[in-house]
Amino acid sequence: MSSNSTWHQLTTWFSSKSTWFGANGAAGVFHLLYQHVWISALSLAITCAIGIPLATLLARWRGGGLVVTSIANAARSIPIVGVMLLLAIGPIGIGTEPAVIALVIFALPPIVTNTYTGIRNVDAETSRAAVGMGMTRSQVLARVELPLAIPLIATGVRLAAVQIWATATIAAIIGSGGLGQLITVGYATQYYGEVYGGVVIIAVTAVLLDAALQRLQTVVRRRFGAQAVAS
Amino acid sequence: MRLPGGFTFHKQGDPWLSWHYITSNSHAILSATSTHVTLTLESVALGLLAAIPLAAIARQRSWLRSLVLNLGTAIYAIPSLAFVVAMIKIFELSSLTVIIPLASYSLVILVRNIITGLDEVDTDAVDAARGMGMSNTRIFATVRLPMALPTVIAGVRLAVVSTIELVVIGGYVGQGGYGSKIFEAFSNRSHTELTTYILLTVLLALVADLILVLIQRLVTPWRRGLAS
Repeated sequence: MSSNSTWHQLTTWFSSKSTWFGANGAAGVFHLLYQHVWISALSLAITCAIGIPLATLLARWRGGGLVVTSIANAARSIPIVGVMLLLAIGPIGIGTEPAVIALVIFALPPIVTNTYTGIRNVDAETSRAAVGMGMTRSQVLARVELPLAIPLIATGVRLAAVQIWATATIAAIIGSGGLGQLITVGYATQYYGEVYGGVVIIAVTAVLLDAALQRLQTVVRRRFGAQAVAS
Repeated sequence: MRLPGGFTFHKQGDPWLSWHYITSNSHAILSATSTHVTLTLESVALGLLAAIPLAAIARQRSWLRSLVLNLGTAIYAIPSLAFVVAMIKIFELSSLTVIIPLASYSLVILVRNIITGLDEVDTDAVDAARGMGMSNTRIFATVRLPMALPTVIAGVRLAVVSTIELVVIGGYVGQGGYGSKIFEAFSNRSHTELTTYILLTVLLALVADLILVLIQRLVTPWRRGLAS
């Protein structure tokens, strides 16, 4: 196949109505985008719900730092594709559930590390002053330490969100749907118009999300005061 | 690779882990290890080769620096599956299909670290070298780069460990070392094979990191005794 015909396939794919709205039971880009947003949002919400309280607990405990570093190092060397495939042939089977579980596991490190660092970076004098004002330990956490940690927590959430969005693509391999399905279906049927169309859409959405979240983070940092950034 | 047809119950004689599997498949394991290591080394080496001049150029002008860093962020945001599959039409099913995307990700990590490393170089040392009559190129090669070495090697460690993990996605196009085995195990629904190769990937990353820590101590003897 010449590159010319791949280009032709690509333009045909982009200009076809069924590409965007689906046809004959096959999902269109808009439906896949909806699935991708849903899986990513769900995974990010679960990760925050687990990661932020976990980091808060670890920050109050002496050995917490070691646990945080270990979680981060372990997650960096475990292949996420392998874990997804493993969950898919395990008792849970294929679909959205194993995808969300794997996405949450691998999005925990950025959120845990940054929240932990954010709370730990709060000046001990500041916390002590709050205690001196008669606040209880939990009040210090809720009214002083967590608010001061917000810039770093925001960094963690941004990194997790970008990572989830990108990795959700791989989840299409285990049948979770989403934009990655354009690549898996296109590759399986050797229809490179769809593959390259998918690559373009996935890359553009990933870069746009990253840029948008960086903007948002700048706003958050300006609102809650700048701190040292660990990424 | 096809989507699996549906549920199958856990097969008999297919435990999650088996020492027997490892001993009876040692040849396949060694061959996959060699492919995985080769792909990793080629990717990181290519990334490093491109990163050094790019970092040196990026430091010349502030607009070049932000251009290089922003372009890096964009490249890093491209999902690995998309990047690898996009290379198929260009490189067919050769190892470059996997190496080019992974070298690009390494490049991004390394450029950032090299720029940071070069920024941290003591200006007094550079002035002294200039006073001795060294040319800019010579200063770069004999003063700046060696002084930036600890930060550069920290970047290499990060690049190697993440590349070892990323090579696995190459299994999707049959070019992944352990990754090829992992995808094969998924198609055959073999729990033993899948867990074995996942653990091998983790082990390889740990060993590689350990070796790089040793190299770091060897090439930067003046930092021995300091925390790495």
